[in-house]
Amino acid sequence: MDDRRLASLNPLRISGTSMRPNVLLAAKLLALCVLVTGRIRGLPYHFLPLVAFLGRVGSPREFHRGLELVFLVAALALFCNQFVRTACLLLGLVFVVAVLSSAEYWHNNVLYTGLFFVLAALDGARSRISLFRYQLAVLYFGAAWNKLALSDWRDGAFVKDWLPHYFHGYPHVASLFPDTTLSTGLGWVAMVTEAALVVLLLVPRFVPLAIFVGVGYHTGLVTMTKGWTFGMFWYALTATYVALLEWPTAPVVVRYSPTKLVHRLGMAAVERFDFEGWYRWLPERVDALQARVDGATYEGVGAGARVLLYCPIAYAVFAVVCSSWPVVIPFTFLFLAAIAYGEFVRQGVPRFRSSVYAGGPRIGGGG
Amino acid sequence: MLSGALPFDRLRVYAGMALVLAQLGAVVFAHVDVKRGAARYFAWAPNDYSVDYSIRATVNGHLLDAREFGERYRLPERDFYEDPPQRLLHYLRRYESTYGRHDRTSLVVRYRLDGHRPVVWRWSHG
Repeated sequence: MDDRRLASLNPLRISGTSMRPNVLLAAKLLALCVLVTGRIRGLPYHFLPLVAFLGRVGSPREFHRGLELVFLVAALALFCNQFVRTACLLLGLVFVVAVLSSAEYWHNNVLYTGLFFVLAALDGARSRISLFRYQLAVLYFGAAWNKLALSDWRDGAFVKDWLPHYFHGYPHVASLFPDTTLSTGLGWVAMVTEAALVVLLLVPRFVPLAIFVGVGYHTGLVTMTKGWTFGMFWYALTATYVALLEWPTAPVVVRYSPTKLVHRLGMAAVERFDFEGWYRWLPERVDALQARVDGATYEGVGAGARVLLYCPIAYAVFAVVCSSWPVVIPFTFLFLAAIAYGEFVRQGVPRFRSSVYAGGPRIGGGG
Repeated sequence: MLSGALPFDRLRVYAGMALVLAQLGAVVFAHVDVKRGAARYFAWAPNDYSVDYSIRATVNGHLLDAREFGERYRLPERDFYEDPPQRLLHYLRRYESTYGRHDRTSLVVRYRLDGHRPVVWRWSHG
């Protein structure tokens, strides 16, 4: 096997396949999270299948082992950039078949994880339609509709009863407000946020804002429930938002000061794992880090956030950490704050421009 | 929007959109058909319910303890459940009409939804 072929097996490479770089990255991250959280061991033995014939596919143990084996082989292929669409389809089918084969295993978060992989397999690399945008819109539409239709959500009864199961101090906090004001308020925040996300996702120019609101909303839920990720939901939804990002069409030009230790360390760390040339590092006499992304220039904290935003190794590390210790997930807010700060002070392209994917040239080598 | 896409690319996107639209249809169905949609299987309505339940199961004259209950139904005998109570009841009925169809079973489910007054559901067969 020659060097180029070997290089193509690098899990940190995300370009040069038939999938968009950020979609491939998102799929790898979610597969990684499934592995690190140990959810592969939780794949079901068929039991009370929703689709009857699945209950006759081998013995329960054989069925379970088969799902595990397919997942592992497909995940390996995905990480090594081989037959990536087929790998995603298989990963998706593992979860879809799993939920259909066991009423015990039936959970929305698992079904959504499966659908994510299936949509990743179907996503058109050159299409301006983002399946993920519409998938999220349908999800939030269903979620908002159901909540708005339930009187217990509208008057706060649900939140008042539900939240103490996760946050034992909640009744005390709620008692600081009159009646069910806090519970009602939290419920309406959830309903309005989900309804707003439907609109933001359906209007292309608002998709960057949808990404920000969506990741913030779900991270807020994890924070409020002290680390409960709602099964795979936080991981799968965050991966979906990664798949919605508008990926740079040219290398990110980063101007850094070689006299500043933080700049040098950051550059060394990122460049060490930049196998595809996503960044061009230019040593200059600058006071603050500068990052130029497709015509927009960011400085300081905003520039640092942008460097991380397009950095596969940063995502991989964060995915492993969050999967291992969900209590770390609220740190996502720091990243969102840095992105928001950078967005408001940047120069160049008007804010909240359309994020319809332009299908521009791939970055880096093939293989 | 698909004009720049290869034919196979377009087919994939159409398939994906069909999948998404099917979900939209399922969401609408779950709300429109009050009876069959009550369990909210395909409604994208997870974690919208706060249900504290306990279940007592008597099978062939024997009251199941917690371990036996878990082995039979693969559910805790008492737990916190975040899907519609109708789904829990549907699950138990499905078990009894399939794996448990030859048993004489009596089920008593007590649950509180969103902190309201407890509801008792009884079911038996055989």
